[in-house]
Amino acid sequence: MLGRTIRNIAVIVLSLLWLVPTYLLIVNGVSSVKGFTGTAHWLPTSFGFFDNVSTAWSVGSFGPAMLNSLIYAVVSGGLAVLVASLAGFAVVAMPSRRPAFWFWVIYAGTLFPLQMFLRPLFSSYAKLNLYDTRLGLFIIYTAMCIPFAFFVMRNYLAAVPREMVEAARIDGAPWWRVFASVHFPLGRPAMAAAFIFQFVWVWNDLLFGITLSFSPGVRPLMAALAGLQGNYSTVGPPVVLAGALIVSLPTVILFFAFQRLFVSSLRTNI
Amino acid sequence: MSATLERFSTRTPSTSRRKPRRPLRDRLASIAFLLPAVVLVTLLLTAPFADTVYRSFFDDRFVHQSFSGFANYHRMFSDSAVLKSLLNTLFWLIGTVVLPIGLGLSIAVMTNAVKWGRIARLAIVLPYAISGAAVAVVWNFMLQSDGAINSALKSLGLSSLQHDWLLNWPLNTVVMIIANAWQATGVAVILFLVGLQAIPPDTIEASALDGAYGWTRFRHVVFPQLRPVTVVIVGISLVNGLKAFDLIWVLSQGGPARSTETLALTMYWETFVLQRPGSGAAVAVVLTIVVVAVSWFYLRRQLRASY
Amino acid sequence: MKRREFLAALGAGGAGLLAAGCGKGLQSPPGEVSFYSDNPTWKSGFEDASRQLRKASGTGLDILSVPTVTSYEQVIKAQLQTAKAPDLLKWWNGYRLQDLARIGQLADLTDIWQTAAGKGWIDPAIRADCSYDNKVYGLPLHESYYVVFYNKNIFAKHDLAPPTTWAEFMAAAAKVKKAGITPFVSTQSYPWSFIWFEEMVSKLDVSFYQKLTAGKASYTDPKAEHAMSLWQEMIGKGYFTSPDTDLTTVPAMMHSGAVAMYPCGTWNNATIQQAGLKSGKDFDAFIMPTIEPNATKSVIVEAAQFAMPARAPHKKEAHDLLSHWLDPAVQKVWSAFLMDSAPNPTVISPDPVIRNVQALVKQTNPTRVNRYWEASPPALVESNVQDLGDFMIHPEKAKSVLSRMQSRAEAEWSYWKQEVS
Repeated sequence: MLGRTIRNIAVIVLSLLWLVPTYLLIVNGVSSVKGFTGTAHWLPTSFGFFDNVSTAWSVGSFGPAMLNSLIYAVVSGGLAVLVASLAGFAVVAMPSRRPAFWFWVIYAGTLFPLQMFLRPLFSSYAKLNLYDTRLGLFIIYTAMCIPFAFFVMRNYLAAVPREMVEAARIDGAPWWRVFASVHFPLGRPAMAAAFIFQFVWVWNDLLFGITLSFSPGVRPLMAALAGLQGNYSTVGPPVVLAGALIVSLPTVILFFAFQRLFVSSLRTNI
Repeated sequence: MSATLERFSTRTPSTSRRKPRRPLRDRLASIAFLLPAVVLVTLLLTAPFADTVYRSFFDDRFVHQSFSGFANYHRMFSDSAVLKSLLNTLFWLIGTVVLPIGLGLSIAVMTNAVKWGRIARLAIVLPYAISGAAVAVVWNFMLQSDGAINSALKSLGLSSLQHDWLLNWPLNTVVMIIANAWQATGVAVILFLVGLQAIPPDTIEASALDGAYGWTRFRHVVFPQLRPVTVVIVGISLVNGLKAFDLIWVLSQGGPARSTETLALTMYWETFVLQRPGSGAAVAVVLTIVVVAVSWFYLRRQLRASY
Repeated sequence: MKRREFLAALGAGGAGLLAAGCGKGLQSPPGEVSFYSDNPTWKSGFEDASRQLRKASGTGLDILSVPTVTSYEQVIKAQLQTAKAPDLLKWWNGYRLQDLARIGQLADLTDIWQTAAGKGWIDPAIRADCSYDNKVYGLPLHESYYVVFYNKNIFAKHDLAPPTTWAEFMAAAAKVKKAGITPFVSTQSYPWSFIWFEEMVSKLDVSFYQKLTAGKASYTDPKAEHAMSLWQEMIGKGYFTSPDTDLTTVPAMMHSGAVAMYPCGTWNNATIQQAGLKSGKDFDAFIMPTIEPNATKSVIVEAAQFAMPARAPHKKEAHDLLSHWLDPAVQKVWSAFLMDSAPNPTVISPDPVIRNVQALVKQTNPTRVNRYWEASPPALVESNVQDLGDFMIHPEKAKSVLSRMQSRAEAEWSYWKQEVS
């Protein structure tokens, strides 16, 4: 009984502690610029949320940027998950001499520090006319999403019983049909989960957005938010925080809408 | 005959088996499935790394670089700022594995057992979905010497606990690791929860019949079942810990006096602030080697089991 | 799922991607030259100026803003080497300009300078900071002075007037400190730790500051130690805001009366007003007095530049456009937007605080020195700024910080001199 009480108290305390920064974020993003005194408030003293949001939206050109981010996140995330599933299938179901080799070739993509890419990518993009283009960002986002999605899919598809593959092959099915009729339907939940993770990653990307693009028609949302901060910023912290709240909203909604799917899909046993 | 029997074996892929000869068509099909992923990753991710390795052997002149061998690496390891950066990277490695995973597991286990666990989890998972910019700005608000934490301590009468959270090493690194854990624990909670809910209830009941409760049950029954999920989380956390950048950059820009730099920041500082791409490339190579070594060391046992 | 349908879907998706993906490239519309800047908030000002420039030269500006400063430097330096160099760009002056000029990346603008100087449209005193090897490579976009903004209401409440001597300056600080207001804003958050350093050193001895930043004096010189110990004293008396102060919160702090004085560049004028303080009424500015009463007066200047890459695709049009940049007609609209001091000295700003500063400068005629950030080789400054931050947090370390800065200066100066060879 005591154990249970302790556990309950621990959970409550942890949850409250965890909420503190989120609470501060909301309180200070909601306060008006005029009411801001220079230090963080614990209690709401003034209300200017909608003003802050509209300032952030117009000064930061959030409209086009949000559309860009949406396109990048959906297309790159989706494409990466598909490509990663194909590769994951190849590595676990198709006979291969060196499956670990292929695993590392693809997974290693996630091991490089992001900043390392900036200089070489920028130079190549400038030469190939991909700088400040949507195609350029599509390509890099897709490539960046593949390794982790591959990791998840490989783990997940590894649990598909070998007999199902063998049975299909014995029946003379070509490999693509084995994938389409066995692994793809079974792997859908994991693909959905991987897609959500990649969507959130692409949506929250800042570094590639600010290095590989700058014009409003190409630039993703976090880069637009960064334009509100920085050395030349003329808007106060409440506006930046309100902007940060707005740009976080879609991922928060996505996460919670699909929570159930998430939880039921990431199982590693079928 | 034995080959065919083996292929129909009901054992999971974790057993080793003889590899039968494969027709050419199978090999081509295999390549076709792997090709898109391999091409994209190699062209866009691995090629820049190769370029970086190449660049690390040249000096930092702007227009005509000349070959300088291991000079950049040598200079790097005799630079006290880099040595501190290595130490910080180690702190981050330990911190981002121990904290989010330890907390994540405990929270997942505790909230799994209560009905209102979902609400508690909401609070803990929410930060993961918030943008990095927002996280950094609000923690800055909290951690500044005139910030929210110190002012709260003051109004609670605990002025003696006030600190300059961001200004003194190693407190600033520790505090940033905690800020990172605030966001990273959410993922661990979700993944552990998935693992927990995938454990067949019969297993739990059976262990209860055998007299195992609480901690014993957890250690001998539940935790082993979580191994696959643990692999994923530790793998991700290792990599994220070593690559941590955004939070540190916004909170302290690697300062004061470069004391909170990790290798990722040192690389950025050398390449983009000091405009010394050769030196930066050397740091990037060293960091990547560390990440690969750590990941490989951890994952190879898990992979060997699967292949 | 049929294979054919699958492949068809892939193909359609790919084509759609390509269509959506192709950007407009880096071509400016005809009649305009591309101009890269790292300050998106100046866009409407540049547009106003562009209209005037088009009237005078026939060409306008296609304004492209890269919002983050560090990625801006990277972008420009990489683009300068390709065939897609911009036509014009905003850059820093001093050693940062020299960084590009001495490797032949910038076009010579001496003829434009000489014409403008002949008409009195540019102050000849700042030519050295826009040049390399006696040739001019940049035209100033603005001429910001480093002043001390002060909250007029606080001053009035405590019977204070803008100080003209160091003693008055310190007395004002002591008085507001007693009243519970933090006297000075100071921060070591990147890169601002140099603000107080450059003020302390240049107000102590401006020719020493000039020598120090030119690599001809040592950081361990007794003069530098003297400046640091004065600074140390002020830190000890609690005159400064905490070293991790975020400058974006300062206007609000001034508005709420938490701080009294804010040393910064006059480019911050607009941001302070956005927090609700009225120019000239709620706040004004003075130039920091020299520490010794008889020392040469000085003021620190910051002036971002208009520069033209040597590989600019539309060299002639860009050159023609630049030759009209300093025309009073263009400068007037620019100054009206900027709420800072325009580079043409004949153009007076409509903003009360800036007008006051311009008058002060004309009246006292201080020696102009370049801001620390551009006054020495970039790599040296970047690293020294970090060490200054260390000092601000641990003021007892003054001596060791200075000797660190000096040994780094020796290394970096020799590296700087080598680099062009």
